[in-house]
Order: sequence, then C-alpha cells, then structure tokens
Amino acid sequence: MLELKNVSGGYGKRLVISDVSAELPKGGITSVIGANGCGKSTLLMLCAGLLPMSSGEILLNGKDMSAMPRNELARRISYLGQIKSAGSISVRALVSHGRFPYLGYPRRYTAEDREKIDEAMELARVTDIAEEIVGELSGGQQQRAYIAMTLAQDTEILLMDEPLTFLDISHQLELMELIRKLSGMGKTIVTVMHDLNLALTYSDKVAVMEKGRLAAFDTPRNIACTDALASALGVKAAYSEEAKQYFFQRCLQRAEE
Amino acid sequence: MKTNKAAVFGLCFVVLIISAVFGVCSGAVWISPFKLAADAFDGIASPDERIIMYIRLPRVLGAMLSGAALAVSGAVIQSVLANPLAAPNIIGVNAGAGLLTVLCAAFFPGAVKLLPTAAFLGAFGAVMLVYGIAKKTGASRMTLVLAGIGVSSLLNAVIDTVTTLCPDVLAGISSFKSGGFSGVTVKSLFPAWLFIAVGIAAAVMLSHDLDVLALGDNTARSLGMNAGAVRFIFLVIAALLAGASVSFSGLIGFVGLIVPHMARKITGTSENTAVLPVCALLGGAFLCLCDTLARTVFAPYELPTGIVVSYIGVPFFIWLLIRKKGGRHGA
Repeated sequence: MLELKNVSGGYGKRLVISDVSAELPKGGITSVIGANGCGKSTLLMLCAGLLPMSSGEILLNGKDMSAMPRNELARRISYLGQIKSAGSISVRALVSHGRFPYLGYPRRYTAEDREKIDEAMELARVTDIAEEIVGELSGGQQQRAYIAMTLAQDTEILLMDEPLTFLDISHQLELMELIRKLSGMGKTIVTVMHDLNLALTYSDKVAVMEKGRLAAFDTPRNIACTDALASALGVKAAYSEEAKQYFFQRCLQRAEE
Repeated sequence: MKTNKAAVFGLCFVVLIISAVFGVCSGAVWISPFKLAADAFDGIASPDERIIMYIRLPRVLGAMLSGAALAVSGAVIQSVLANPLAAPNIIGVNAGAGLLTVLCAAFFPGAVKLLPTAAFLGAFGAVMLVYGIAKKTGASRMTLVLAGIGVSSLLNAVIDTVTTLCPDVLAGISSFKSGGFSGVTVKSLFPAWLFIAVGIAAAVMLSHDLDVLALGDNTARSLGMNAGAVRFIFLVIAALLAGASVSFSGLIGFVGLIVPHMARKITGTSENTAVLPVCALLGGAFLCLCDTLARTVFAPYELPTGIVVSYIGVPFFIWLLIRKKGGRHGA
C-alpha cells in the first residue's frame, strides 16, 4: 500500500507538486488525470522515488520510502516512464533487464528469473517478437515490450506514465484489460492517463490534478459528479447506463488555455 | 535476427591473430611466418628474430593494445552519453590526455613512467568537462559533439603552444599529433599496458550494468541502479583506456568512433555484453593492420599510423553522419 502524506516536490528549486495527500489501496487501479503541465508525471516520479521530495513523506506498507535502499525499492515499485531509449537490443534482452534488481554479481539469470521473463512476455504478448530489435518495432510493440520489462520486475506496485501512448484503440483496450488482470492478481497500479473515458471506466480511484495540487481523489462515479473535472480539465462528464460509458461536454467557464 | 555470439567472438579472435602475424612478418624485409616458427626453436638468435623481438613485436603489441583500448573506450563513451557520434577523439578526451602528456614531458622530462597517469588525468578532466556541459545544458546529441569539438580544438591549441615552445618534449613519441607507433619499445608500453588490461577487464565485467544504464537515467534508477555512480565509474574506465593509449601512441583518432559501430553491425545488437569484447578484438586488429599499412605501403618511407586511420576513418564518419539523417532511431 502506498500512502502519500503532504508530499511536495519538483525539479531542484522549482516546486511542481505541493501538499498532496492520498492513500492508494492495495490491489486497486488509480488513474491520475489533469491538464498538460499540471504535475501528473512529476507526482508519479515522486512516488517512484526518482525525484527528491522537498517536504512530506511517502509510506510504502507503513515504512518511509525515502529510507529504503534503491535496490529494495526496485523490487517493490516499478516505473514505466514516457521517454524510452532502448537502442538496438532484442525484446528479450529489454524484458530481461526488468530482473536487474534481483541480480547478484556477476549478473547471471537464474531459472526463476527466466521463468518470470517468459511469464512477463506472455502477459504483455511479446513472446512472438522476443528476438526482434526493439528500435525497429512499431510504437505499440515497443510500448508492450517496455510493459513486459516492468512486469518482469515483479513488483507489488506498478507506476505507468501514459502507458496508452502509441497504442491504437484495440490495443488500448487490451492494455486496460491487462491492467485490470494485474490488479486482480493483487498488484497496485497507478497510471497517468489522457483518455478520460478509459480512466473513469477502468479505475477504482481517480486523482484529479490541478496546478500541482490534488483537486479531487475519489471513485470515478463521484468524480464525474463533482466540479473537479470542470475546473481541472474544462469538461463535464455524464454516465450513460445505456451505453455503459461516460460522455463529455466542454464547459465554457474555463478561463485559461 | 539472432547471431551466435561465440562464433562472432571466435571469428574476431582469428582476425586479430592473423593481423598480428601479418604485422610481425611484414616490413622492410618480409619474414615468412613458417621460417620464423622454425627459427624460434633452434636456439640461435638469428638477425630476423632480433628484428622481430626488438622492433616489430613491440610495435604490433603497441598497436593492438592502443586499438583495443580506444575501441572499448569509444563504445563505453557512446553508451554512457547515449550518443552514437561520441568517441574519445571527438569529445576531447584524447586531446585532454595529450595535453597532460605533453605538459608532463615538458616539466618532468625523465619521468616516462608518469606519462600514462598524467594522460589518464587529462582524459578524465576532459570527459568530465564535456559531460558537465551536457548535463548543465541538457544538451542534445549534436550540441554535445559540437561542445566536444570546441574543447578538443582548444586543448589541441594548447598542445601546439607547448610543443612549439619546447620542441624537444616529445622526442620519444614520433608524430604525436597524428599518432603512431614507430618509437614504441617493450619498455615504453609499461605501465600503460597494465592500465589497458585493467580498464578492458573492468568494462567487460561491468558491461551488463552499462546496458541497464543505456536504457536512460530514470529507467536505470527505477530498476534499482545508482545511475550516477555507475556512470562515473564508466567515465573513469573510458578515461583510463584513452589516456593509457595516448601516452605511448599519441593522438590517434577515429578508432574509438568506428570500431564500436563495426562491432554493433557484426554482433547485430547494441548490448555491451557482446559489443565490448568484440570491440577489444576488432580494435586491436584494425589498428594493427593500419600500422602495418603505414610502414609498408610507401616503404622505405613511413606514414604516421594516425594518417592511415584517418584515410579509412573519416569517410566512414561522414557515411555515418549521412546515414543517421532521416533514420528511425539512433544506434
């Protein structure tokens, strides 16, 4: 379980996130939504321990995360960023790097490692392209290869920054089903999302960010009813029982952008 | 595409041995390898054997060590900086090593054994300077190369100044600026060969970590790596290798740029676990061949080895620049 207590932080002296508190339940899917530049990615990096907090603390299963050795943290939290640069390595080699936190010296894979690597490739459906070079694949296939890498890391918490980028609609839905499956396996998942409809449909909790603050943190149904969406993103949401999905309408009262 | 790593490695090893034998046998007089093998066991020191032992063998060894060091150094720098256009000569590492070598020779003329250490310090200073610029400005690949070329030119200007004011400093190293092996003796290779052996061994042993680092800072850190420390270690290794090479062979360029690319082409991957050992073998073979050409093509005149390397290296570098344009991804 991940618990944020009055977390503030950013890049050096530039504070991007201020005073965010939230409790992410174990095994749940939490989506972080908000306008461009509101600090979604920064919040995720703070949760991954990739940026220093200026104040507040993050508790992982009740223990202060900043006191944990990086290697131990990597066995509990995996992070899939937006910027990727694999170069000319095979999908299998990339996925294998997900086992890095478990490798002793001299960096030899055990039978268990290989099993986890195969499992992860199976889950993310990259087994058939295992020997292909990552840099030569389509954007969607590359994304799936990276997801397989974070799955091989076998962590209880998965943080994903816009995992749906580069995926076409059917692969987006496929990935959301995979995320749901992982949450069913007891993994806690936090994703930064651009697609509001998918965020509201698939998540247990939605965090609405606005200018570095947490404007709302609630279930999708409740978020859809509040003004948080209007103020943060300039839209109103309504759920249609008939279509089993959300519909959005642009609000006029939003001043900026 | 899957390439058999053991086969590639074996092939490169054979190429290295062949170029070494070719290098030892050719020169002003061609000495047949078969005659040589027969001579070696007759217990009499023939003139041929003496030529080999005191002139050709040290030279071949020097070229192989230098080539292996520069190639591995180049591969490491390209990986750490995530820049396929980086290499020790391009980003000023060789020039930094050269400057301190020249200064050391000017101020402590007798201290030949100090040269590799001085060169290492110079190389390290230059690599940290260029890396600092890249980090401070968040510079793009091209900016990094341009900054390196700037640093390189400045350091070369200082080298020229020192060698103009004290023309005798590099009597032991012929054609220091373009690089060569004509003055190399077994004595002059120590302790540089030790630096190179340690550097290559360390790079190969840590190559898995280099691969993880190459995934990018955030990914490496989220996989539990202390990316800053690992990067620092690899920059030290790269400087150690380039510095040791420059201390006895002068400023040989382009080996560090082109050999890593060749190694990636041959192995079909950019995984350093495969690329670094192949770099060491190919780099040694390549520079040994260049040196053999340098002293035989216009015999009895001899070209500085660096010039032959440039003839082959510069067209390759330009081809690399052209090929990158419009490519889908960096190497």
